[in-house]
Amino acid sequence: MTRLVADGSIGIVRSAMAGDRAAFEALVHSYGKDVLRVCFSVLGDLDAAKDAAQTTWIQAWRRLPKLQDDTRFRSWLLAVAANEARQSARSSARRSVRESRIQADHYQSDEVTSIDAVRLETSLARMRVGDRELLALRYVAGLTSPEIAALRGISAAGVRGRLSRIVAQLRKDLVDG
Amino acid sequence: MDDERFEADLQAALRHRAIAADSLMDADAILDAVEKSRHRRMRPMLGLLAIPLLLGAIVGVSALANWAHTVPALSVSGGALAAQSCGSGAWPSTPVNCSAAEAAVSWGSASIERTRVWLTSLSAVKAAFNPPQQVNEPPPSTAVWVFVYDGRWTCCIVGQPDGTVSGPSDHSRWLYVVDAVEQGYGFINIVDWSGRPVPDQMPPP
Repeated sequence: MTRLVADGSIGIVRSAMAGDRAAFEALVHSYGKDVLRVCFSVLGDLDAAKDAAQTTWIQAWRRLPKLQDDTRFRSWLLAVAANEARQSARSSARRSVRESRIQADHYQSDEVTSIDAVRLETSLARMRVGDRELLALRYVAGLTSPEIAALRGISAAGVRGRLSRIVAQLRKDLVDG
Repeated sequence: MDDERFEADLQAALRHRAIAADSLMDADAILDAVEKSRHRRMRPMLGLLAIPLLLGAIVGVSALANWAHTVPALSVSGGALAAQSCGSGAWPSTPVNCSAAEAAVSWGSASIERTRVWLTSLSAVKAAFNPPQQVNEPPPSTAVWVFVYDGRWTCCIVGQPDGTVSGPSDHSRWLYVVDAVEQGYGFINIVDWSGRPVPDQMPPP
């Protein structure tokens, strides 16, 4: 197979949309970690995140030819990832707070913020999966409220309002509590 | 801590937490899963092939064995002139019809002034256009839809017949080839054809 596409260009998305498997492979390499991060952020479980990420790419390959705007590939892909993770979370048993504390040990060694990793993990585990999905798209994937609104078919004001309530609750749990 | 500071800290904490998933990245496993899924989706179509057998249809075993990469024989012999669109052509039945093949890709902001479409074989496309191989290709005998578009299209990096690459650039003519047998994921090739001749006829598959 000869690769005749450039990584990171819109051309690569168009080539993948046209069925070019080399281009699709380049997209997997470019966005694979973003997809995993979103899935993990929603699920809070590494194994489940890996499965959801794999399903995301299968869905992406099937649906790519129907993508309306190739310049929005990343936000579209991460919305697919969040959706797959949400469905996975709803079909699996809810993790216990105790399990989530164990998971927190994986990343609390490097202090990057004033937020306590274990308390954050506990709060996230108590949260509704839809709220974790919103946090993942906004703060992990870095999508704007209008982008999330367009992908979810709701208003940007609705997204901002819901995020505001989620952040306020987290602040209450992590700072004020 | 003010709201802005908390939000910034929360974002940093969530991103730091998410990085834990980076170690799971395995592109080969993902591509393998995609490929397996693709083959699973083909099974129902292959299963339908058993129906003519059960009904005692007049289809020989050898014809069935070849079905995966053939289409029913065309009634025309020799070369076929291009149709101006999918709707204007008289096509034999194929697993991937002309309209579905054409709709498999969006040309975005391209302006299309003229379309020529044939149903032919991949080997005929190779002989007439000599396009470079850009993706894994099916056997030369595979039936394919060939679209030649004239107009304006600014696209990505594309392969040239001499094996070099160019782009992104403006194109006035481009070639699009789609597998007429394999649903959705067939061989598709896009190559710049600006200023190059287009054959009058293409042989049937």
